[in-house]
Amino acid sequence: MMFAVEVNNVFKSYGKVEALKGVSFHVEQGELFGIIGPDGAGKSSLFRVLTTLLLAEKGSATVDGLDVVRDYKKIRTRVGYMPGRFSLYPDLTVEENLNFFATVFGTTKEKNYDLIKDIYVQIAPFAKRRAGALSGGMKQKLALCCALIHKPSVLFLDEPTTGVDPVSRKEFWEMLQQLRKAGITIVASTPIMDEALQCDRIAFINEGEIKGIDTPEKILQEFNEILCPAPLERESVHGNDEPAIKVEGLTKSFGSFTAVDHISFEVHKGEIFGFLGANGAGKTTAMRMLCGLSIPTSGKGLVAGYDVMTQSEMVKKNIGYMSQKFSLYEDLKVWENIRLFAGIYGMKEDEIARKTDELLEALHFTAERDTLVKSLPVGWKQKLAFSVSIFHEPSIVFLDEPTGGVDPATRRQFWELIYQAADRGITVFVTTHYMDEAEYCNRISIMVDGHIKALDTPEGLKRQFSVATMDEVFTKLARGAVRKSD
Amino acid sequence: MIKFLIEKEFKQLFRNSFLPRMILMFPIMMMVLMPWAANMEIRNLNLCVIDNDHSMLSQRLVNRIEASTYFKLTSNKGTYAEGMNEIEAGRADLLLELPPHLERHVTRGEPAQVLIAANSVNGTKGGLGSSYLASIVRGNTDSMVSVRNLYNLHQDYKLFMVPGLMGILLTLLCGFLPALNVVSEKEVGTIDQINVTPVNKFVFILAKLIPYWTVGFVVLSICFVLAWAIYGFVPVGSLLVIYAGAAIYVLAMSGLGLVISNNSATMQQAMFVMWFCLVVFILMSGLFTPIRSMPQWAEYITMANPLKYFVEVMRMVFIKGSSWSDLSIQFASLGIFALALNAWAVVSYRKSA
Repeated sequence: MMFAVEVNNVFKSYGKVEALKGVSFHVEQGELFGIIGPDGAGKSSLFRVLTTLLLAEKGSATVDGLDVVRDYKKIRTRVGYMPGRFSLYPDLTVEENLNFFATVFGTTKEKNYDLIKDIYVQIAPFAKRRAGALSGGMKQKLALCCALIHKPSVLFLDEPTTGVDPVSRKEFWEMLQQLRKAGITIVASTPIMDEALQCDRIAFINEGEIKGIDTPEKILQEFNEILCPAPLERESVHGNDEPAIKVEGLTKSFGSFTAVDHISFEVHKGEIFGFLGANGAGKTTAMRMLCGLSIPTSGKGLVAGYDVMTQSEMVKKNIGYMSQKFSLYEDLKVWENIRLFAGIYGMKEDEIARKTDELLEALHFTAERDTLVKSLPVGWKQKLAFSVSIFHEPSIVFLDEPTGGVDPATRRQFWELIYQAADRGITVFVTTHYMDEAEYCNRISIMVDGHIKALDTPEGLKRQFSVATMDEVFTKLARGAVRKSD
Repeated sequence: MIKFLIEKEFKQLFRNSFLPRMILMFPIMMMVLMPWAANMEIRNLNLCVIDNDHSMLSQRLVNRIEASTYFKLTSNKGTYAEGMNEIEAGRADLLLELPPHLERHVTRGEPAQVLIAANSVNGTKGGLGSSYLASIVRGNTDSMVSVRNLYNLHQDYKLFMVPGLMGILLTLLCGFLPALNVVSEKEVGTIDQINVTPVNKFVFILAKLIPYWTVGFVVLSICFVLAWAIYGFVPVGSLLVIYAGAAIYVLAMSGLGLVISNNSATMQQAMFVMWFCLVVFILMSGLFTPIRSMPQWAEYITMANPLKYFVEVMRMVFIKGSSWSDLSIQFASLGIFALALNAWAVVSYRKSA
């Protein structure tokens, strides 16, 4: 029988960096095949070779029985590819995006509507909305529709659920299961293990080599150190009850739309506060108000003792911030980034020099001191960005989805850094879509449709909703959302 | 604090694989190539002569025309119709038809009719060509006119263009480049990271501008050296006046660039607005076409064009040697632009929305 995908001894390097070092595997027809591995392991390079966007230096690969070099034109009509991000046109509406991709492949939306029907009905209410204004989950569903519109026989998905909330993520994988039943072969990569568990087989790739291919259970067991690191243990130090952040009736409206609707809460000093919510619930807007980036429409917010409405510059002196998008300068070296931000916060030259050495030492980054930030793997960048955001010893640090798209082992290291910061007395305010991370927080709030629907310790919440995991708590609350779309 | 930010800008500028080379190539292109290309002088017009006289006089006339650098005698035809064919085919720009018995009429002192027909698709070319030609034909029979070319003694068009081109250079380097830089930080998202720090917005903007100002003045100086080395042009007036004018102009243009960048969400949008401004500025600055020959309403519009004043400063100082007192209007206007545009830029830049 012909394999859907067959890869034989593929090599690819970028300058000195070897991305793929003799990769071989095959995917059966109709299989849901997972590719997992740490950042920079070579997953994206592999996808690009298979979708004929990248030429391998050595080795051969076939997709749907066709050679990726010789028959690249035919392959392009038979595969669907969804790169991690940015595969839609943000200025076109949902409908226009779909029609555009249909036209590109010489087909129409109606022709293959059966295939995408189940997915499309969910986004159809927003058909006239610009794709850029959709929530993360909706965008990915639309991107999936666009990748399916020409009825491909093989579907390639490169980390399709990065930055997507747990509920939308579940829905997304349910769709993949249905597509598999319809006979489409799917090759997907993911940094999230409960998604990997849904595959028929997974390949674990690290440092450009396939380390193992088997059922998810076996692979996860074999490589559990990297893939399922033991959860972090930390004695719950209860901070004093003095508030680091105090919010009363904070509201932000954009025209007739109220993104954040009268939220009130307190965060104690030294606490790790998890700020959860589905895509579009208003988390980022609320966080931007607390950081002084966005002026509240009404309500009161005190951060580190300063009013966000009137004393935003004083707030900024006392906080650190790390945003969803990568926030260091890619064309500066590691030490230059540290120096720049330290200088901005008014630190002295000799202090900067001393603390830079200490930091690089602690992060085991000393060898990367003169590396341009753009050539660091994602996980490293995130760790560095976090360290830079607390370099000036702020009293509070705001982290907006700091671990999006980062593999489990690196995420665990990242949280070790967060714990170290909290132990030094820095209050941590963090948003995340990973429910295992939610368990690491002292207290959690869950936002739905601009309101805070629940706020307690992880244990308290589980008790309150009488469920066993945070994931279920979140699902229960978020499924009740009316506004899924923005 | 600003030290760290300026350091960052310089590092980013010189680490870019493309910009530093461009910044170096740009003045060289401007000084070496442009003065030859951006040339409005009418030379080497193709002339077709229809000589119906075949006399000594007509022969002498044609020789005299050929001797001038303005005309190239490309053909001799027998009839007007044949001559017209030459124009239709694009082989001739001008026709000169000499009537029969021209010599006889001239020696008898009778009026004679010579016909000049010019292809006036390009009005300037046709008009200037026919009037040059007419003046040669008329010879020096009419009254004596003495002409003195003031300042630009050899009527060298390049001397006229060089100082103006320096203006375009400064507009791009100091006005638009830093503004595009701000927009790119917006697009990448790093500007959020800066906005959440206690950096003062003046400091941030100043740190963006200073490196480009420095680069701009270095490039301007390179241009002066090139103009001297290649063409032997040396400013007649004081360099101090030129640099002072350039400083105010650069300030005004940076302000405009920042206003545009503050109001643009994407690079594409900013680029488009800047190109629009640049084209309007250049065409309405008097750089290529004299402002006096524009219609009155267009002349009023040019008053709102900072480049116009700067080109005037450059040309007046460089070619005429004007001093401060001759340029008070230009300096005052540039000063007003600088103040207004920068005030607008500061108001429109917000650290929080």
